[in-house]
Amino acid sequence: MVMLPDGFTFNQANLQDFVDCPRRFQLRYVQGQQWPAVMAEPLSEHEAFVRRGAQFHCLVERHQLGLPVAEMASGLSDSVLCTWWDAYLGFEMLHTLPGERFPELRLSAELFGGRVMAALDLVVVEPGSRVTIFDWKTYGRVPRREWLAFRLQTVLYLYLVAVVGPGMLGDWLKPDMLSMVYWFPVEPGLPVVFRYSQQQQQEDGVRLAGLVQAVLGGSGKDVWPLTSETRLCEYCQFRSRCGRGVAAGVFGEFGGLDEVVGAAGVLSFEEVDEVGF
Amino acid sequence: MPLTRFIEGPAGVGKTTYAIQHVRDLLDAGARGDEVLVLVPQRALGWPYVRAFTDPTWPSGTSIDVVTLGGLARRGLETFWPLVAERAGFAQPGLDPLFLTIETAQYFMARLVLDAQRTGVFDSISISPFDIMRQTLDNLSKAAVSQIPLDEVADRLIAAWGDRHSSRPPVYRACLEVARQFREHCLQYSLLDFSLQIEVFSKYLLHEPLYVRYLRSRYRHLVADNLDEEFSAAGDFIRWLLPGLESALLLYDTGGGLRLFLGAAPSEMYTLAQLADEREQWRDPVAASPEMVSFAAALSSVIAPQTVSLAQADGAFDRVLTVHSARFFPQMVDWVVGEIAQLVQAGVPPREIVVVAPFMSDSLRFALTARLHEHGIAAVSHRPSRGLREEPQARVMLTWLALAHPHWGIAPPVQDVADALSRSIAGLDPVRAWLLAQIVYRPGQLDLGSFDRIQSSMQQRITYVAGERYERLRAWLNAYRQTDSGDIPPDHFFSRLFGEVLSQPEFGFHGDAEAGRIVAELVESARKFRQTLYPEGAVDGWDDVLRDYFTLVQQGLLAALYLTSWRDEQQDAVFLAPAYTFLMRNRWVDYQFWLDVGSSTWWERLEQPLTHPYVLARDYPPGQVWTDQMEVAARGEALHRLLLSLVRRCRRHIYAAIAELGEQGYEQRGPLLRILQQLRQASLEGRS
Repeated sequence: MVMLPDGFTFNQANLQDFVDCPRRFQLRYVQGQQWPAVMAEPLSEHEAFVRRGAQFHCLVERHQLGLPVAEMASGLSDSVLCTWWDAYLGFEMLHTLPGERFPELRLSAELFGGRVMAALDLVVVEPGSRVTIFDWKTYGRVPRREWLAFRLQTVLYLYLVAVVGPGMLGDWLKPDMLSMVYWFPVEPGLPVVFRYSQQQQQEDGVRLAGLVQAVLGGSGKDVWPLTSETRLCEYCQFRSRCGRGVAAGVFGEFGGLDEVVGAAGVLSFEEVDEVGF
Repeated sequence: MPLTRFIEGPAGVGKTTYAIQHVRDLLDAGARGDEVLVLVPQRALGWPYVRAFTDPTWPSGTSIDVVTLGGLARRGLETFWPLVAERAGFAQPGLDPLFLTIETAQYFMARLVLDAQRTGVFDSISISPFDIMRQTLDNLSKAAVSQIPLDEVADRLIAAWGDRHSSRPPVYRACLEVARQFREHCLQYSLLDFSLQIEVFSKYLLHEPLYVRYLRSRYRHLVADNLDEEFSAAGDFIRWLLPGLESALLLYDTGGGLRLFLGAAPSEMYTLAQLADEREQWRDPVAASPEMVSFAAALSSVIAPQTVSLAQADGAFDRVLTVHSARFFPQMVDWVVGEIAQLVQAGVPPREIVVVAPFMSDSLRFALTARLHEHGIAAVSHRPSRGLREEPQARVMLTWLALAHPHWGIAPPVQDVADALSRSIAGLDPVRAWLLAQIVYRPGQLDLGSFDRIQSSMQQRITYVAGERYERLRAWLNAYRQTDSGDIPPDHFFSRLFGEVLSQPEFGFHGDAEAGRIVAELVESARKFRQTLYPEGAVDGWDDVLRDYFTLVQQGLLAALYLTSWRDEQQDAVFLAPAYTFLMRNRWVDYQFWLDVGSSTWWERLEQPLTHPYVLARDYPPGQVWTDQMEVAARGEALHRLLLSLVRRCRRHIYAAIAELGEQGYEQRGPLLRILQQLRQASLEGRS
């Protein structure tokens, strides 16, 4: 039986890590190993990508909280970010959607003996009618729908809202009133929408239970299996730790790298800085 | 007005446990998790809440915020920045805020301090540039958390100094001038250190209607724990928030106030009790034995006889206190290690043992760790502000950084190169590494020599396997010099060197978790340095930045480890720490070892000539001279608080270890030793 650290919660990023490579999960979360190797080259491009993504998320949150648009746009000097911002302002589907808005909503629930948490970019609730989860994806291109459908983010977010939602919003919320929208500023007209259902919830529940139980039942001593998909190792910081190569993969050639990098969007309690002691 | 409850009581009476249950009751009664705000003075004090809220059995729903005032301010400013930036005086309001840590604040401060120091203005006091930086930042923070104007800081310090010596007032003014320059720089580039976060939050954000609406509609319930450790600014915030809440639970640790030297305002926070609808005093400890309660009372009877009489301490404390005297310091360490070994042998888990001292020097830390390891007992230590350059793995990285940039003219000593070789190449022992370094490295020459060109007899001694690995490392450095030198920032250099060479199979850091941790700290430090000072990138390449970083780390001005990982403390290991650091973890243990109780440092304040925790408190009368009598009284109170806090966090037994001659070889008769002797005497008299 594995010993997870105090305060550990499952989330889409660490569950995806486990699916991609159990050994990575073990090193990163069970053993808490820090391994500061390069994940993708050119490093500066990768950094700019992460920074721009964070800035975009912050802008949208501000807008959803009611900050005046003009004041926010005045400071933008990055042309890519300006383009994304204009695209966002033109995202009719979102702006015309009625209902109460919950930006950066964080949900947590007990799930099969573990604690699961999700940080949702935006949830729009139309009481008695529907709940829509929005997630902003600042990838360079739109990935295939099947790839997104299988990602743990899609599975976990919809499942978690279906489970937690009725207690929070009311019993009217049924799985088929739920949907999740991935929106890509690089292709603003091509949002990828997933509608939920009771059956999907059951299937997701089985998959998530299997994952959580597999982690909790993992050995506390043995080395967990390394991924057989060695391409993933090119984008993994533990590449040298596992003896799986020297050079980092090329940034932009791997979809969904922001999730490979980790749950950058989730600000944990430990990460908030304060005065030192 | 909300229902406000104020509960006071010493540590260990179950206040936090009660508060966690209170939050659960709120959720059961229909409150949403994100409507509850849990406010704590320091991150470590929030861990019991985080643990409870992430337990699988905790109710599902929206997440509960557990924050410090600084954390809350930062989140608010990050999101609502466009509303306050201009009004708060930031020159480029369109520039998003960059939040400075203590370390990144020092990057800016370092230049200002070094410039000021060159003018000779600090010559009249003996202080390092690092301490000038820390204490200047401290003054800024204290002004912010006490909400006193920055200009008043020097006035207060000068007035409190009185007519002791005329050289000090100009030093205070110089320190304030550095603080002012730093503040101007922050306002120019949207940089927010802790003090500016608190100031902008309190003065501007809390008056911004949109944010006020957001905050008031979001939080309906407040739990504020360890109020005794909070700043005045947190008290102001609670007073501001209270009227819009449905409930508030305020918890105060009597005998707390340990963070007073960081600006905590325990007496002022205590006045929050006046706002409460219900007040309760809890007295009965949940975890402590009656003997330990008796010990606490006995200590109070000696230190503060006005609060407790010795008669109330029934002498039962004898059973939970062992005092041992050794002639020399190493003998004292031996005794402590021996007692710990016996406890562990008897089945006590190492994590139930803590060894505390007023300060934990490197040599003491090393001696204890090494001796405990000889007994097969794991130990983790924590010293705040330990410089990264003191870690051997970090020194290895810095040596290679210097050798990768020979045009800097910085030639590391041969010993450093030998050490770097030995630690970098698996299987190369220190003796062979020394041989290799002497042959291939000539301080001042541009390149490291090739293994292939040295005499074959020497190659054989060093071994061909090690030689081949050395050549790979050398090839990497040469390739870097030819293609990337000066083109990548320091954090990228460290990451690549670590990932592409040193952590690869057959190299020294491969599979070494400790090396990974240290290098990760170094990378993080270098990244923050670069992102803070050069957010838009370097204009003329990174060479000067690389060199600046190297120089500042070597000078001990940068790259300090401030927080030990929670993971370290979770280990089943004996915890070695300065007493205050242990207390701020709010941990209970079965056994405590108090080291060197004869030392006068148990009651001495940290030597901080540029700042003053009492004088810069909001309730200190400006213009009042800080007298020697006040100092003695303050030290006595601090020692009282410290000892009570330690005793209240111990379940079974305390071992007080004395070295008649201290670490420096001087005879010791500090106040803690005298207190323990008085207790012993009283106990003997009681028996006879």
